[in-house]
Amino acid sequence: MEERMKKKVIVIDDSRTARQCVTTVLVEAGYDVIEAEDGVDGLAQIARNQDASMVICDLNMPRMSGLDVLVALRASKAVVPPFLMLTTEAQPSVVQRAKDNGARGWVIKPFKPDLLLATVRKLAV
Amino acid sequence: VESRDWEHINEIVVGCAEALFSAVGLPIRRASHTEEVVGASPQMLSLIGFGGSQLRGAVLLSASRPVLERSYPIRHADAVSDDDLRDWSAELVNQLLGRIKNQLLSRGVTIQLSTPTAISGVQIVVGAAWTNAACVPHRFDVGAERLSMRFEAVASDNVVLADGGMDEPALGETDILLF
Repeated sequence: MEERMKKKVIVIDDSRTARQCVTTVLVEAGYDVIEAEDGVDGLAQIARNQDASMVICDLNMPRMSGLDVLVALRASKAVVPPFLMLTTEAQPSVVQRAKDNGARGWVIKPFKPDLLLATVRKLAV
Repeated sequence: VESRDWEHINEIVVGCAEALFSAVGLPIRRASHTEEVVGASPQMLSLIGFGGSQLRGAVLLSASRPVLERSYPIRHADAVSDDDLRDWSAELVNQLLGRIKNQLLSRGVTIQLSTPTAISGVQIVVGAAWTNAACVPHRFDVGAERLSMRFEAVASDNVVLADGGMDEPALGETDILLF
């Protein structure tokens, strides 16, 4: 019998530990995870994995911020999977900018694994 | 900045450190001693800068290997590597300044964060980055181990902390907001 394809989630964070925390939760729940270490790498992975079900992205990263990733994706007019920000940032104007540029949700670090997983299950396409 | 405001800022800094380490499963207690402890055991030192029109500076976190190992969020069968602990130390200082930023925001002070960095070594002694910076070291006991933190900042002349409620963060730690 053909095995059902696992949903693929792209996790973008410059902290390897933060990425692994998210990856551990998602892999245990049956997702495939692609990791990217900053916004530039994240954009490349999104382009390379157009079947991704979702993106989870940090905000404050070297080379390219999470907000800049969103802006670049919006400018490219590409079909973008649901985009969730995972960050320590909670400034209302920054949250609003992300929302205006297509983000679907915002999670404050440190995250609660069960809540993050529930969010992924709700948003992943 | 009024000295009363520096006291408030330092209360925020200490409160954020205690909340952060509690959240990562490692309760810390403010130490009664104030002297710099330069141990011979390996230390990890992480640093993140911040900028803004009202306040600019840096936060520095110094912890021994056992402190970081005990708070490390991923369970490994093998010992955690120095690379992993440096990365975790950088993430901790990033999350610490994120909390401080959100508290300052509600007091009418906006700062922007840089990205963190971390180094490891022994007998690391750090001097103040700027001669005109206010710098208050904070020391914590973590069981028999110690953790120290410094918040140093230069303020513009007209910075006054509001009583609160200026620009409340959109959400708090561990919260999730869906659009």
